[in-house]
Amino acid sequence: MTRERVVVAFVGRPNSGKSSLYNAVTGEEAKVGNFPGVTVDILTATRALPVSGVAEIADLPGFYSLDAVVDPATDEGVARRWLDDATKAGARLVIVQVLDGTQLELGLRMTEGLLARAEAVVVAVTQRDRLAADGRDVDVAVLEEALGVPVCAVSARAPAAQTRGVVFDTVERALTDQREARAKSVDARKVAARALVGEGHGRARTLTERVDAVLLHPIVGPFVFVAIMAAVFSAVFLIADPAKSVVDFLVERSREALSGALGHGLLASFVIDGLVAGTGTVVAFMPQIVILTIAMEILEATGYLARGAFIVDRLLRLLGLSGRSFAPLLVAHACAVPAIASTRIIRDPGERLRSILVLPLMTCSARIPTYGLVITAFFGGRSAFFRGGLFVLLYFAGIVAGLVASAVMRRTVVRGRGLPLVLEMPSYRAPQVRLVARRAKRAATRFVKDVGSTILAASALLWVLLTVPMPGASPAVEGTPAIERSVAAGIGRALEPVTRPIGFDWRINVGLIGSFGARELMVSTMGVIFGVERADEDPAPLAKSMQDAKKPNGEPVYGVRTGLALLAFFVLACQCMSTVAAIRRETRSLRWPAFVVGYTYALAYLVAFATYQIAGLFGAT
Amino acid sequence: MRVEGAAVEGPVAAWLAAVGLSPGEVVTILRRAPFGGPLHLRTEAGAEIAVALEIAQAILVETLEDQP
Repeated sequence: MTRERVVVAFVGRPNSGKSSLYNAVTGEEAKVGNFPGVTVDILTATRALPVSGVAEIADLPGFYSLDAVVDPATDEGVARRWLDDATKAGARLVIVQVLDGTQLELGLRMTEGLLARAEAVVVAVTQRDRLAADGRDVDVAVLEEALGVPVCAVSARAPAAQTRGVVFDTVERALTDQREARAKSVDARKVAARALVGEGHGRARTLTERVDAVLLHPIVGPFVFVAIMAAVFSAVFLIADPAKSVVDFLVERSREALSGALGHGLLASFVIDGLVAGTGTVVAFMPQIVILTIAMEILEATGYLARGAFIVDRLLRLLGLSGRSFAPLLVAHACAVPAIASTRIIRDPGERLRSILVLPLMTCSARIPTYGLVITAFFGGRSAFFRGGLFVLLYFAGIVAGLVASAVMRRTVVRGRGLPLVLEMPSYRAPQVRLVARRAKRAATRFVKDVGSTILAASALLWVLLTVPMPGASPAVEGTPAIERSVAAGIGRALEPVTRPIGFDWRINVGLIGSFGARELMVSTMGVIFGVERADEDPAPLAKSMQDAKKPNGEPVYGVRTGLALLAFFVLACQCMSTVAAIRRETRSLRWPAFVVGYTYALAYLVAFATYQIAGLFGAT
Repeated sequence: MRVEGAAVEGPVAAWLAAVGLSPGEVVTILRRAPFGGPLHLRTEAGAEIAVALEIAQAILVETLEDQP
């Protein structure tokens, strides 16, 4: 007898306790399954069943209905395609429907469709402990009789091994089960009423109700919301920033060590300034990605994310987005890369794309030191009040630009209003540390794998542009930095006619080319051009050199107009190859990252032009 | 209130039904977000749903007197 492959698929509504049951059944090791063309994760693990042998066990994304598929890229579409593919592949498919015992009727509505779909079906009722706390229980025998399939009831409090045993035994029963015994139709309401035993006193319900009375209070609610968001933010700055400094320090040390070992040749420079610096960029992002993923997972698992969406939905609707977009928009103020990944929670594909396209405009944490350095370099002589005001202005300019861009895109590039908010408000629950940790780990590995490779390639290319001499360039003149003869300098000079109306000379152009990869590189690139060592640590000498730079007619090269235009450019341009790489990964296309680069740079140029010209009208130099 | 039907487009109606709001359902409005924001509903089957005002306005309901 040849044994057919057995595939066990866990399906269920979101928040039904599916992931924690899956975790209990498969243990720690599970890998993210490869499913072509989608970004939704499907976990798979291989485990031995007691009788039927080795089985592949998959955790499908949670969904509310297999029929109401809005878009194939959403969780519903992915789950359905996965089930279809598994059926076609000829495996013996066992569907384990995970069903929240406190919402029995809602879960049973899906059961009828599932019964018709697979060779074997198991219904696993979770949250038995919560039912018990409410003085109720679920009658497994009644459910089995009504549905005609094996049923088990589990509790999150029970040991994992016990839960695994119960689930596997039920799966085995399903594999020997007669299909004819199955119910043709399921009246969810009647079945639920019969299967639930005991008088509920509604204690579980009241806990959520009591918390909601505070967190969704018309006045207190928004304050709590702002406080929670502020806490998430502080976590990023308090934990991720020191961690990033440590990474920067280690990268700097390894560069020094390497330059000691490899010398100062071209190859050494490529390894040190191209590859090691690129790796440093990748690693430096990790603390932020991990912390933000953890924060978002906790908010999601506790049920607060839906509450936040409820509170801010009205505000975001004005701008063509919905409450679901708030988390990505918020995260983008720390870093656009994890924000782009977090857009997966947005169900409407058009809205999700629009969010991805405007996230790079938010004032991310990498812009803050860059603004500081540019302001010091150009406005060092101004009052602290002026510089502070400029800083705040720049910060909010990003939000305004993003919201305007979203409103414009809704009418042009990505049409459609987007589905108005229809969102489940799950009961509050304590997050499971293991699940959160696992997701954070996955986010980190995925970042290294997908985004890391792009960043490395781009770093290598930038190194070539900034280091390799322009073909036909005049031979090296003693005392001028090599960068003046580089391909980048050639490009910078060629761009001068284009950038003259916005007040940029070739040196700023080279700085912009150098900072395409990461905007914080602007200052150090300018430092190299002006021959100022370590300009990113102390910008004052660079600021002095730039203020002293004079045109042949004696006017300063870099006046206030240029400074303002440069800042306007920095607010808008997507100078971050990590962001571009993340957009490429999430949209699975080259078109949308190219669009983002195109539109942000075009916008940056236009606004810089307007700033430069208007400042000129007001008599600024 | 009992839901009688909804004057919304296909995908939205299907989505409402999937989340747990279909004709015949008995619903209670728990609260509404300020400034015309979404409504917080609970159905008798135990679903709690936030629904945007513009969708909620398209849902036809019959008011039930004996609501607790």
